[in-house]
Amino acid sequence: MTEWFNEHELLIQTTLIYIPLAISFQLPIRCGVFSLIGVGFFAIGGYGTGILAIEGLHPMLSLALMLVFAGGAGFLMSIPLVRLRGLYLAMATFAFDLIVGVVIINTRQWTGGAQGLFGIPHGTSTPLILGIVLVTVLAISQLERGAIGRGFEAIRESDHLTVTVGIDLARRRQFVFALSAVLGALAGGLFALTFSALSPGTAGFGLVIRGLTMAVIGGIGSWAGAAIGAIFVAWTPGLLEFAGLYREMVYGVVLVGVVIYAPDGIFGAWRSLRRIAASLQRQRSSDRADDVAETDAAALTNSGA
Amino acid sequence: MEQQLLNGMVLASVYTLFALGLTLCWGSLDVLNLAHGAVLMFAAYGAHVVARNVDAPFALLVLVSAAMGGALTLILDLVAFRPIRKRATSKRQEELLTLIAGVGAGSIPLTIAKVQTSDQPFGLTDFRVRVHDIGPLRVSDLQIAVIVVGISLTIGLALWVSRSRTGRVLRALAVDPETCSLMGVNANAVSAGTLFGSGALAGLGGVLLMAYLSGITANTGEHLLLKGFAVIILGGVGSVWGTLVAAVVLAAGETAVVTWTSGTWTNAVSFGLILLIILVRPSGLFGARKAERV
Repeated sequence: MTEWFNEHELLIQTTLIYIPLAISFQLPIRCGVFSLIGVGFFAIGGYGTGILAIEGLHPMLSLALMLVFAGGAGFLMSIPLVRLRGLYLAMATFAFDLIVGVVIINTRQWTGGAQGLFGIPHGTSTPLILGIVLVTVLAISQLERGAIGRGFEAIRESDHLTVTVGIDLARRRQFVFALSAVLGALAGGLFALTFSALSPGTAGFGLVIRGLTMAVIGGIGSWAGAAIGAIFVAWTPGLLEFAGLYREMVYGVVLVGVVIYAPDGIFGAWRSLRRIAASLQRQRSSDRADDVAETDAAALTNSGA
Repeated sequence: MEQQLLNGMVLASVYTLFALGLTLCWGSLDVLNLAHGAVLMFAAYGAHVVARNVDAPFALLVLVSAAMGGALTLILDLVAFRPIRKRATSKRQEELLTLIAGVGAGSIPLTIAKVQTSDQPFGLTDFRVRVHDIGPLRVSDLQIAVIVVGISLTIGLALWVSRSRTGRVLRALAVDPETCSLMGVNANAVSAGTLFGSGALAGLGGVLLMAYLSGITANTGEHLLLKGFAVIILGGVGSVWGTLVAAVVLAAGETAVVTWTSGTWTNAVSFGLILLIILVRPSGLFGARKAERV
């Protein structure tokens, strides 16, 4: 068992780091806020943490500082952005993510430019990453449960009705937006401290697609979907080694398949299966009760006659 | 300087052809086709394969490319987008799933082309153009052709959308599909036609680009996709004239940046435009102003 862990440690770390990123996509989408800002802040958080750590600041402190920065910046950005709808918000945040990449390439004196940032102190270990991710997931799941979580669901269902129940729509949206920035920065910072190197390509078009895939494949319903999505995106390319050069194509086909046949993601599909099983169970026990009633009725009629 | 202008205009033309398909699909059918770039590339690749095996005139290659582009997009819609539209429970889910499906489906032609070309540029080997020296400019027949095609198709499409019955139907579909079906519109036929047309335009742009650049790679489509977004958002989603104007603006901006700076900021032009326009005027230059309650 330990051997398997050691062999795949890099993959396990990547999966764990992907989880906050997946949630950074999933959470706003659940509230109807189509924000892709997590990737931009993955880059900002990663590079920020890396640069601070290289300058001598304690890795965890660097990470914490970047998280605070991400929260503030995310909140400020949300003010003009949050009134955008659907795909337009997605486009705007996507454009922002890509601009961050261009800025990184052009500020070589701090970020190492196109060559990348190297030599970031290795500030994490797998147990530490696991711990941080667990705490994050716990916090998010608590958020999902309470009144705030129900508020998010309400926002997704209908803006107008949400307002009538007295929920401040704009504030909630801004909050979710800022949260997605923080989650993205967390993932980026962890990435930087774990793999000690970053490049502008790390957080670009590819990562946006990967993040969207994680959110969709796993299922938007809950953080469990994000975890499933992270596992899928991190591990499937390796599993597809057999396809050789056609790996990307098989991956694409799988994506299309899941999207069409399991539109609620893997987690959603599992939940539907459970529901079907439960209703089958209920049907069976009610059938049994009917049978018993029938036999009783038959016995009564027979004894009567 | 003038040469740069000419290059910019050719670039603008290619952007226009590519973006026209994208904007019509998004504007009328609410389908944001992320595989559009792969379609352009693969249609051009098809023309390249034909050129390799058959001594075909350029016009035939253009036809092949356009037909392939149209067919590919139709297949894509049948296999991926339509099932999603049928099964999606909400508009948002439909949009999200369409995006992912587009990416996934686009990887199929992308990978095939990549493997077949070993990720090397592919083009038209026996392509020769006549070059004319007009004043300070060196103009090739191809450049003239691309610019003429781009402008004429834009004009043609704009007129068609605004004057013809089918064009009106397309605009009506964008506003309210349900009322359209009540009015006896065959939405499926119109959407199939639009999708084929958008793919054909992409194929056309692809083969012209391939000839102009003397070769494109499997990844060219992806780069174009982002530029395409910038064009349609700046121009206004669904507007044909907007696409042309925006393509010119984008091409001019990028050419200027390349000429006067180190060129690493070139992509920032398109991304910056997207962000700026969405924030300031989401309907773009010529897009329909939609009243959205905040």
